[in-house]
Amino acid sequence: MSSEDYERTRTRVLASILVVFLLATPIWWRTTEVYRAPLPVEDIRAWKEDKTFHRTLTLNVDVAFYDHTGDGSIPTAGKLLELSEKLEADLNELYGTAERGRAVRHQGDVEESVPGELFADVKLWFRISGGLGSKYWERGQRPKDVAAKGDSWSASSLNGHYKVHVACTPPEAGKQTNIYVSSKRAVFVELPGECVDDVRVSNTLLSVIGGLFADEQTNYLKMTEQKGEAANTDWESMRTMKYASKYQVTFSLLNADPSEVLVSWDIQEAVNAYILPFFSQLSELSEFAVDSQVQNYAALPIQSQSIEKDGRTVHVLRPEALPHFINSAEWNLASVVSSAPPLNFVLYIPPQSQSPLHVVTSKNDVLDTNAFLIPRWGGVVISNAKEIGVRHFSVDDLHPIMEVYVAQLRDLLGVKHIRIRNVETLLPKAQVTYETAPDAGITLWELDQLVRRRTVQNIVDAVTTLNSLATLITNLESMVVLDDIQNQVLYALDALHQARLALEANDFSLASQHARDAFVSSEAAFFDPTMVSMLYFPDEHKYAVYMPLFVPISVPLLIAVIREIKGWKNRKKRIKQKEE
Amino acid sequence: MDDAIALSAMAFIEEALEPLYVAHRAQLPSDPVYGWEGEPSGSAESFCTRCGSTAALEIHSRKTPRIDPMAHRRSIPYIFAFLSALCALTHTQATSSITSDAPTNLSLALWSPQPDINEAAIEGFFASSGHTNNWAVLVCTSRFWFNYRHIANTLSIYHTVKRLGIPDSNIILMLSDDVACNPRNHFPATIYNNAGRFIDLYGRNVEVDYRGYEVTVENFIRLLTGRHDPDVPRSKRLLTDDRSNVLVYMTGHGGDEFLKFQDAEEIGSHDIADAFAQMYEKNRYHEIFFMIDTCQAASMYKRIYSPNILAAASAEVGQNSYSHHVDPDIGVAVIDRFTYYNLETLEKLKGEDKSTLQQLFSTYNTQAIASTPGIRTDLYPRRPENALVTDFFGGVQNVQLTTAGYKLKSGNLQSQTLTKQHHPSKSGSAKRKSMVPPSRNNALQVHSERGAVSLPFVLGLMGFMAGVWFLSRVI
Repeated sequence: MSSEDYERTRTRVLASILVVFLLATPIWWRTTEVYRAPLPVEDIRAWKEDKTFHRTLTLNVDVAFYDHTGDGSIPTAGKLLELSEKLEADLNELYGTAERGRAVRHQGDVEESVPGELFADVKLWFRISGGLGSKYWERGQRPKDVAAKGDSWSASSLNGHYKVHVACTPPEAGKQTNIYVSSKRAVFVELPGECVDDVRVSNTLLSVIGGLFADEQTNYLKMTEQKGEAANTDWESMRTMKYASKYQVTFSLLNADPSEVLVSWDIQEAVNAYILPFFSQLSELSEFAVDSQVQNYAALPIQSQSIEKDGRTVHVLRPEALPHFINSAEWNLASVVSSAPPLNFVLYIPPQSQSPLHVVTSKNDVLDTNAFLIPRWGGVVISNAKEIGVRHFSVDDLHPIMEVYVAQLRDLLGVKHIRIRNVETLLPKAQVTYETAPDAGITLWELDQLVRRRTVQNIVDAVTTLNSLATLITNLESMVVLDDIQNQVLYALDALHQARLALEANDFSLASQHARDAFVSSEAAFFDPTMVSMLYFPDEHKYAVYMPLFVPISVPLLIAVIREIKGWKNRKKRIKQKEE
Repeated sequence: MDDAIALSAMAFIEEALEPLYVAHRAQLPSDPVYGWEGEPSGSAESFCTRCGSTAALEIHSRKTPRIDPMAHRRSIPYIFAFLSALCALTHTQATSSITSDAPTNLSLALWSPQPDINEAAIEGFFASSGHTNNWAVLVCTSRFWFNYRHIANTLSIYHTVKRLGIPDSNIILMLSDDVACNPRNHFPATIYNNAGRFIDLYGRNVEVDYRGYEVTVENFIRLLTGRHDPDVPRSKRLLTDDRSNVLVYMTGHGGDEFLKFQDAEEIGSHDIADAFAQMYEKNRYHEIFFMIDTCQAASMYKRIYSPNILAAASAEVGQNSYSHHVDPDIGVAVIDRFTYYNLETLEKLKGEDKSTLQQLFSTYNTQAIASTPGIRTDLYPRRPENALVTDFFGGVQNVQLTTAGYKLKSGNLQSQTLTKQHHPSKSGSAKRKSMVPPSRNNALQVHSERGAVSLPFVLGLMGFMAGVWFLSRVI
């Protein structure tokens, strides 16, 4: 082979290797690239921008007047219209000031570090319609009886629609304004001899309606400032469980010593009778899975103090000791069945050596219920067995215990007692009665408030989660984002949009469903197991991976290329010289 | 009109006085001397009820370390008086015309806070730290018999937190090796942290959540960030919320900004910082106490940037962290110095102890530990002087006494119908589930479904073949 041929072959060899390298580069690039489904980051950010979620929740309140005076001294229809218009304007102004007072507060430095804190700002807005009602509330009927009739006229069946029934009764000595808040969506107000004075009627109604929703309004304002020093003492939020679409509720009967007392309980019937009605009311918000267990040999983990009382030895648990009540590692209370947040309810039968066992207040008063609540965990009731032997808790026996559990459940799930806020100062002479809901454990007023609050909370949470996700994905460039995540995010955004539309249309139940969907799928996207890549993968590591592969090949290759170029230049020179 | 003018005037004055408020905010709330009726949090004072103007008077105490609050405190009532006077002045005309206007009179009465019905009944709420539950993540990252001491370190802390009341369900224990059952263990099925062999740490009741090869960086990150496969049991999850105080204790072999896991991989300080950041984003903790016993341990908390995290490390960057003593019968070192001296304090504590973390830190003796313990407090506004040791090492829960039940109907009769009522909700939930797109949980299937890859691949392959063919022709 001549040197000419030899050179040409060498060039070809070199070129072919280079060609292979060049062609392989895009393959390498594509195959080492992480798959990142595009996310609508702009849309997500838009939700968090200032004033995106400034909503007014419109509440419709019908005010109906009844003439119980008998002399027709009730205001005329025209006057009533005027009255309700004024009421509406006053109420909305009243609720406007609540917000304004708060907005100034937000200019403080605390919020500086958290931009867009005020992206959600929810205000209640009232729409009042007034008119004459005549035949339903007859003269002389007590509000309680009227409310008990439960007709569709007396209370609305829709969340966000309320009725205020105002009866003008003749003035009577010693009779005061009587307000009866029914368990349905209605209020009954008796105004003895007041109807003549428009201003007084208007004032009273303003206080009643305004007071009923004041707590809710304050709550919305609180929602926007979750983190901060004040939150450390906010018992309300410390006690209430975080929202989940499903809760696992476990009822445990713990018996200290089965050699003394054998216990059993009709828990299924009791749950069906007392707890399920409550849960079915809340089914709009969350699901509840209920299970129960009986455990024996559950030794009392703390030492009780024994004191003498009425000539008997009584064992007491002081509040300081109670926090350690649940710490025993032996009580296997945590359910392993599901990963839904658990709510535990414990009925504890103490050993004979320590009974009767009583929970006392810090002032050493024995607590009648013998029960206490552990925030975000559940409730405990202590029941003392009277004698050695067999103890069976029938449905009736469980009634007082279930009442305690329902009270604790209400606290844990964030149900707030309906009340007219500051009624003592607003209407000092009025007598107010709140109807409870002994069949369901929650009145419609309370349920409505809870639904609205959770809706707003879920929207706020979903938006926050989506934004966290967007931040995370933008910051961590080597994180894989599957189509699945994209679907979840798109779905959440769609649900958020639907929720907003539903809120605009004042359909609170629909809004609550969409808000829940948005919350669930945004959480699912954020906590997707595929969202963990090596979070931090520094460049040095990449070099460390590629160096041993490419350095041995590339050094001789580079040298060969340089040589080839040199040789090519030399040849060119030679040719030139020849030509010359 | 009047209102608008008044409001803007107020706003102007408030802005001008803002620096003063900054200085006072920490001091002012609920000060009875000046007789303001504030909210329980004492944060906003309405001085002008007409227009709802308020002065923001509470600012994070951390912003005002250098200003002496007492000096400015006295002037506050004057400022308030001045503002109120201004309010009165701007509203005189308006007030005279609408004195009878209901909202004006009502506004203050309505929005002034009224304690909850239950609030009076709340008794037994003790902790002012703001947490309602405690969690502990205890990680030993080293394998092999000669790392006996790391397992003993972790189990000692486990023993302590359990004794102080964190239940097993709230402790995530990760042990990379099972030295108790190692054939070289002269005392089978036991682990001791002292040559005196006082406590058998393995005891009867140790719940190891992640064992052996399960202790990986990935699992640790998954644990912290809460991203698990759906079939991971509850006991392996860190189910914390925004009211959880979390103790994260790690021990093993480390270096500058890394900690070795299992001899095979390592976690970087960035990884830990990012994991904590993600926890913060999702409100997965209230406060974290990050404690690490390894060489150059202080480098591990360097990168953390999320708030409310307190960190303590056994050694500064550049220093080694040493073992404490050898048990000649076991034949290896049984505990590390930093953990040993921590335990000296911790083991003496009782559940109700009021010692603060600062007191714990002040017991650290550089001579005895043989390295300088690092402590990082800049992310922890509550300060270690105010944080109790038991806020992290103990399982202190708050308690509320239930004074009354909720009156219910005695309900033998209803049970039948009500069970039926409950069923529709189940079907409703089934429907909802189908609406939410199912999440795919199997392993990463990044490229399997995509055709896009195949084109460059085929092209490249063809190119390669062509190259080979070309070469063969040439040669």
